Amino acid sequence: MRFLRRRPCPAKVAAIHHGPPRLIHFENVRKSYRVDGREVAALHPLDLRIETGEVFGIIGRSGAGKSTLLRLINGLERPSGGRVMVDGVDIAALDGAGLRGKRRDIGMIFQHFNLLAAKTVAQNVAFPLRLAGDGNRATIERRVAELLERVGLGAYANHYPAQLSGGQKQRVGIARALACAPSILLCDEATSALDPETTASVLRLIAGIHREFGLTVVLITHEMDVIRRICDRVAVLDAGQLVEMGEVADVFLHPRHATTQRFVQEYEHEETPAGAAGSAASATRRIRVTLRGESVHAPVLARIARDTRVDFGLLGGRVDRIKDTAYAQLTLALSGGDVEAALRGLREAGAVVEEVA
Amino acid sequence: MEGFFANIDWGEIGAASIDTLLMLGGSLLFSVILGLPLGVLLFLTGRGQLLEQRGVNLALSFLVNVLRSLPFIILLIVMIPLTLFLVGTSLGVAGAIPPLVAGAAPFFARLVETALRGVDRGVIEASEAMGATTRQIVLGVLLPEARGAILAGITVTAVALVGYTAMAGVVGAGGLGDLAMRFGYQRFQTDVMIVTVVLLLVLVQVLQSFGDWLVARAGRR
Repeated sequence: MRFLRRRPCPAKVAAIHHGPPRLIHFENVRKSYRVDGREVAALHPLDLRIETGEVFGIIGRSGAGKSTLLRLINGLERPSGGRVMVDGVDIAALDGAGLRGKRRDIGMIFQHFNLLAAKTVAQNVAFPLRLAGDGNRATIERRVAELLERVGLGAYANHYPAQLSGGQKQRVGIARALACAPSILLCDEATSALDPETTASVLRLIAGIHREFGLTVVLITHEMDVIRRICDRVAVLDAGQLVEMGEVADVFLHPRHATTQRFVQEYEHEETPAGAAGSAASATRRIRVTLRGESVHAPVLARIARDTRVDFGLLGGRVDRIKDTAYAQLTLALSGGDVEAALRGLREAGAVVEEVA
Repeated sequence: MEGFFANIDWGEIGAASIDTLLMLGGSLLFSVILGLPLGVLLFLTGRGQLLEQRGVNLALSFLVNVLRSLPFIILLIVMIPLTLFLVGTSLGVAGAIPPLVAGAAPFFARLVETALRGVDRGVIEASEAMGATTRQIVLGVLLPEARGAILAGITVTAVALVGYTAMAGVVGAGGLGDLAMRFGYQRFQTDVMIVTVVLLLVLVQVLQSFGDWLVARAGRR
């Protein structure tokens, strides 16, 4: 798989680096369209830095501007104001050849795969290599075979896209996006047309490729589950505004903006467990406890209950993983004993404790 | 039935058939050579496309509409000076080809434009994202993806040209249509009429079947 490692690319050599390496940098970028003679803002001015080697997720409803945001990175859209810097290069300032060179360093996969129906799987994957004029027939064939092997489609080289399932088509899309050994992979709702099982396997493939080749992945989605599974950081877009951004675990476990909270609720398929309020005695304190990492599996609750003689009533919660981090988020009703001591004990054990109304 | 085919000079029928085939082949070839790039340009300069050029698009579109709105019989006559300039004669097979092309190329160009509009926008976007030039997108994506629809367009154009070649007989182009006109119609030789019409029918059938076969072959994937 040697060819998949970064090769020098003309656009990269010419890059001028300013300060610490920030791979993708949106500087006060805005985008508006003219619709029937009126300016309609798709993106309000925003600043965003995506670091080299991270998996960055952008979540938003349809029409929130996430697709525009993604397309600004490879110049399929041009900003109405501000600059989009990729590796220190202003994308909008590149000429035709410069932009095409840069695009070869930015792979992209799509919701509807966008494969060439008239070409076989192998021809589809070879297409970007042929566009770039990279190598002779034999080297291209070898690369294509290796790429198809990597995405698990070694046996499908001579099939046509119409003969493949959705998940297989997206794997072809991924192989094609990787053909030129890019340093950035853009995923445009890459799993939105797939069933949950296929979604999981395609996300595992993307995560695996990210680990293997250390490329920067920027993905857009409307599903919190996709963010939870593979992203390091997430930005939340709402009506063209960047409303929240941070580490996925922080945003997911402690969403601040109403839009983010709705996304998390949709994922959890549950409302805040208000229904339990009536049954609990008036003397109870309702809290939400969030544990991350190793402490999830430690017997924290049992120990504190024993020491403080507080009764923990379980109202709701979830024990799961965010990317590689285990977490537990439980809504509890505390009654009897020394509740304050119990709260102190929880905090000392590394838990985040929030009062729930 | 005895002597029903008495009026028929099979040698003349054969020569006329060859003339028709030559006119058809020549004019189809040039119609595709001119119409294909014209159709591609119509598509590319259109709204929201890769080479969006409102002025160029309107001008090309106008030219195509003018040529398509002229009745072919009028086109045959008004083109005589241009035909003389191009091929040195306005008679015979060679003299028929320029007006046939002028009639068929704009028609074919519209069919090409429509065929290209049928190519998934996302596939074009994906090619742009891969760093393809416009030329690479046209040759590597648009034309191959639209191959079936373009072959169907060529078939439709060929069949339309069979009808045009019959009219071209008016300017002394010869061919089966001319034979049907001069002998079958004007001299009331019904047998000549029937034979030429049957031959034209067979020609159209063969063209359509061959075209359908090509389209099916292009779409087999």
